[in-house]
Order: sequence, then C-alpha cells, then structure tokens
Amino acid sequence: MNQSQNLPEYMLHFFRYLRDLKLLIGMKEMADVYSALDAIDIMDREQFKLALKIVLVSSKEEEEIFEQAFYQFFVRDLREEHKQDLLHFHSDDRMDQVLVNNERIGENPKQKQNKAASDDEYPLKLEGEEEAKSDETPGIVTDILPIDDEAGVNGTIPLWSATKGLNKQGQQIEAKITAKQFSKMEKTAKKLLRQVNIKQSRRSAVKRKGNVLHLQKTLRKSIQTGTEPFELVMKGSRKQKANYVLLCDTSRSMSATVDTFLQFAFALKKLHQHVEVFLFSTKLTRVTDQLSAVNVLPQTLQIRHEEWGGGTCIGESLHDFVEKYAVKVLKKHTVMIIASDGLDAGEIKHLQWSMNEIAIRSEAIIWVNPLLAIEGYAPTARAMNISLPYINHFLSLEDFQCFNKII
Amino acid sequence: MNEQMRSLDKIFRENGYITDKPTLIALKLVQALKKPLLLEGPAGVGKTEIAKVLAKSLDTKLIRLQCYEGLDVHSALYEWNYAKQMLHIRLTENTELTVDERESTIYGKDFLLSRPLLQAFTESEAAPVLLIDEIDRADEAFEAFLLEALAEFQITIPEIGTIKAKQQPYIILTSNRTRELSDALRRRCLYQWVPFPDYKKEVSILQTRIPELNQNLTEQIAKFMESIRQIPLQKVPGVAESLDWARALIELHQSELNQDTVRETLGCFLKNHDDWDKIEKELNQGTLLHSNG
Repeated sequence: MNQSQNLPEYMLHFFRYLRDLKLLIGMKEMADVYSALDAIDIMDREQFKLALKIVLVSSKEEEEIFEQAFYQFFVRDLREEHKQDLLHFHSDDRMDQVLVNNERIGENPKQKQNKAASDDEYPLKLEGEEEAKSDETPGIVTDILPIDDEAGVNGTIPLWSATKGLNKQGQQIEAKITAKQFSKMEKTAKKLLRQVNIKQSRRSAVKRKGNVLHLQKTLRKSIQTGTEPFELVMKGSRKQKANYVLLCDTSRSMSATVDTFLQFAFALKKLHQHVEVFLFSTKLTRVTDQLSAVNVLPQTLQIRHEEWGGGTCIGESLHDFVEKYAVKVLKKHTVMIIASDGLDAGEIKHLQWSMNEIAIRSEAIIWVNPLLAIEGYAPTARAMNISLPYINHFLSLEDFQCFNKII
Repeated sequence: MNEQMRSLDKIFRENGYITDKPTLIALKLVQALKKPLLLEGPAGVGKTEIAKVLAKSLDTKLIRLQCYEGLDVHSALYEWNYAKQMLHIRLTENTELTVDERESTIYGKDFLLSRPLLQAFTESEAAPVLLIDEIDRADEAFEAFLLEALAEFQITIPEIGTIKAKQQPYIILTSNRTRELSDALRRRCLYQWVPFPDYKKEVSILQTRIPELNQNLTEQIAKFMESIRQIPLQKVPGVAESLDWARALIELHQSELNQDTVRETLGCFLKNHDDWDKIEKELNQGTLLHSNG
C-alpha cells in the first residue's frame, strides 16, 4: 500500500471529510485512530475499515454515514478532490460541495433535525421578514396574512394564523386563530400541565420533607455534634415532570381540527420547555423549531403544501417517527398526544409495532379523535382498531379542550 | 486475521461463542487502546455474553454492574458501613480522640463497602473485565457520574479522595437502545452495533452450542428465525430464544420442523400474545414454513 507512506496526511483528509458529514471527530478520536491502526494489520482493508469505524462511529445512524463516506473516500478516492477543496475551505464553492456531499451521503440525524427547521420546513417568521424569502420558494403561499380586519373591529385580533400551501387540488386553505381562542388553549395547556401526574423515579436525593433517613449525611452531621444525631437528614424522590410529544394528522379529513391542535401545541410549547411537535399526513415533519421560533405575535405559520389536505398514512408516519425520533424524544416520562381520526389510506403493517414501541418507551398515550364526538361513532377503522389497545386516554376534541377525562 | 485475533476467536469458539471479525477487532482495540467498548443492539443477540467470554479468554475476573432505573452511586460504587461506623463512634466516645480524629477513622477504608465499580478499580492482581450491563436502563444522572470512570479510569469518593485504577479494567457497556445515551458517554467509548446474526452465523451458533442438533433441523431453525425476524414483532426472538427452541425440539424428539411442531413450541421463542397470534396467522396461511422451505 503505497499510500501508507502518506497515511497521516491521508487520514487528516478523511477526518475532515467526516467532519463535513457532521461526525464528531476531535483530537482524541484522531489520536485513537492512529493507536488503533498500530494495533491492526493496515494492509488488510477490512481490518482497516473496521478499526476506523469502531473508533470514529458512536451510534448506529453514524455507522451508515461512515460506511458510505468510507466508500466515497477510499474506494472512489475523493482524496484529490478533497485536497483541492481544502485550499478553499471557506469559499462558497466549498460549502456547496459539502451540501452536495451531505445530500448524497446522508446527514447526521442530529444535524438533520436542526436543518429541518431551517431548510425543509418553513419556520414561523415575523411578518416583515417573510416576504423576501417566501417569494423564492415555489409552491408555497407567499402572501402574508393580513390581520383579520373583522376580528380587529370586534376586538379579537388574531394572535397568529396558520397558512396552508396549495394542496393537490390547488386550493388555498387558511386558518386564523383569535386571541380568545389562543387564551382558551393556553388555559387548556396549563390545565394539562397541572393535571398530568407521571410515575416517579425511584431515585432519591436529599429532601427536607423526605420520608427516608439519609444515613450518610445524618452520620456526617452528627460528627460535629459529638456524634449525637440532633439533626436528621431525610431523602425522598424528586418530582419528575412529564415531557410532551405531539403528533397531529394534517390530512384533509382532519382539516377542522388541525388549527385547534396547532394552537394547543403552540400554547404548550410556550409554557413547557420539553415539548416536541410533529405533523404527519403522508409523511412526517418535525415542526418544533418552527413553533419555538415564534416570540413576537402575530405570526404566520407556513408549512409545506404536501403536508396539508392530502391522504393519511398513519402506519408509515408512526413507523417513521419511531425509527427516526423515538430514541431521542420518547423517555420514560413522556406523554404522547396524537391527534388523528384514524382514517388511514396507507400501509399499516407496521402500525402495531410502532404503537407498541411508543407505548413501551413513553409514560402514556393520549389519542384525540374528533370523530368521537359524533353520535354512533365506533373506532372500527383499521388503524384505530389496531391502536386502541395501546391508548391510555381516548378523547374527542371537546374532551381534549377541557381535559375532563384525564385525571 | 493476525495471530492474536485468531487465538481470541478460538477461545471464543471454545467457550461456545461464535464471533465475527468486527467483534474481534473491537475487542482487540479495547485491549490496545484501553478504552471502554459500548455494545448496542437488540436484546438477545449476545452482547452480555461477549463480556463474559472476554473475561474467560483473558483468564480474569468478571465484575458485573447491572443497571436499573434509580441506580445510584451507593449501589454502584461504594457505601459506608453505617452500623460499623455508629458502633465505632460509641466505642470511642470516652477516649481522648478528638472529633476530627474520630471522623477520619470512620471514613477510612475499613468502613467502606465496595460495590462493583470500586471493586473493579481496586483489583490489584489482574485487570478485570467490568461489565456495565444495560446502561440505557440507568438514569441520565448515573450516566454522567460514569464519565470520570470511563475517561480517566478513576473514581472520586468525597471522604477519601480520588482512587485511580490499579489495573485498568476492560470496560464493556451494553445497551438495548431503549433510550438515547449521551454524546459525552459515547465519545468516551469505542462503539460496536451488534445485530441479529445472519443465517450462516446462526447455524454456526446452533452447531457449536448444541452439537447434538441434526444438520437439517439446525438449518431449518436458522431459516425460520431469519424469516420471523423480518416480521414486525413486538419482541423479536434473539439467539437465546433460538437456542431454547432447539433444546426444546431435542427434548421432544423432533428431527424436523413442520407446522404442528412450530405451533406446539411457539412459547419457546415468542414472549408476547400479539406476536403469537401474528405468527400463528402466518403459519395458517402457509407463508412462514413455505418460505422456510
């Protein structure tokens, strides 16, 4: 292997290449790689690759990125190309190249999430900021929603509104939410936060009103009082608050509910730090960052047009959610809220597995189904039927708004 | 594969563990780099077993820390022997020892109860294998506590000070990925994803662990397992279940798989009612054993 003469240089290019792909490669990892290469037979290509992978990769997702990067770098020999690029590392061309590479090879999931907020999804923008950017985006509604004059006259100024792009039929759907509605949702969110009590961890810590004697600290304190334990130190479990993950079906059949749910998600996000929001119809989109970005009201929410008013693939969307996000966002103390009518038009073979995964990984599942308010409705739709055994609270939209069924 | 890895492979085989090149390289790097190894993968693929066999192959002690929710430093690292401390305090009450002297005595090593982590770090004869099993079950706070141990091979006890490992233990962490581990912990470890074995590897495992199993049945079990792992089950059967099933079939004097045999022994590898229904349905439709050949 002639290249071994230039191995350190060669490896430096590879480290940079991996960094471009958002793998965390620091000095320690670089040093470890050289130690690892000392320990193996670098003439054996497989050993060489495995050693690099074991040292540089730190998750299953990164493994896939590494595999492709290794192929690109060592098999297709992008070294020369990369070397040249290094001379212009900060140039626009370079950044373009990185973007192209990222697209080709795949991105680190952590970065993907962040990027989704800025690129794939259209963040909530201040009205003044919106015009310039939205014009550049074909297929997205470019008009800024005016403040509802009528509402203004009536004294109910819309705090923010959701603008939906063109659906497949080319119709533009707009939804406006008044201050009154927002206030109601804020109350609902507060009520939810107050009422939800999750199973507490067994981990204990010093607590004034704890119910277990903290022997170590008591004994330590007693030393200062001639070993007489005048002051008992107690311990108890710390109250753990729930995290929330909200998933909303944005298909055509749910169009009347989506605004309410988004309003609720927005209110909850303002009141609680740990809230993740996703939308799904035929595909899943994380919109947490869009909601977080709203600080000054009124605002306009712009969402990609294909998210709205289409069909529903609950099974595929939930499967996608579990595969991509479950490990990151579902914790033992997570309450999952899904808003959907359960009318599915896609493949549901993975739905049961997905619901089970969500149930195992989270504290509780609340399913909000607007159809439940219709007299005579039975959840017999196949997706609803499969999901029911895993649901802790099955609510209609009205129940959801007042939480009179959640204790 | 060099000599050292060949011998490691041989020892693993002798201990009934069929390993592969990635695992061998990972274990070799654990020894060469003296870094912990994080093994992630679904339950039942033999992650824990790797640590056990590694200890055997190195002829050293295996110290296991089983993680669970609420695990804290006192269960993992050390605890003071409070009863002994109290007794000592009472016994020295009327002596001329000052409070400081008495305090320094009761917080000495004589009053310390070693838990797995401390045991691993104070082992003086040979570097032990420290298995931190199912780290994803422990709280994030405990994960943070481990960082010092994993990076510096030292632990700190406030009353005593910092204890540096006498012999750097070989640390193996396992995770079933029920939650995401922190980047800080990941960066301190080498990483290896352990997937379900493929058909060929499963045949080898069955042959090595249960030599009395006939070739035909071995292949049928491996093929069947490969098929059902494609189905979205709630508890996907691992290698442990394949072995249990094979042993059950031997006990039942079965020499080949058919629908009835599988139906009668579903409980050996399915641990969930919904999965049971799903597989029975597939069996009735003839898709499973049909594709199984």
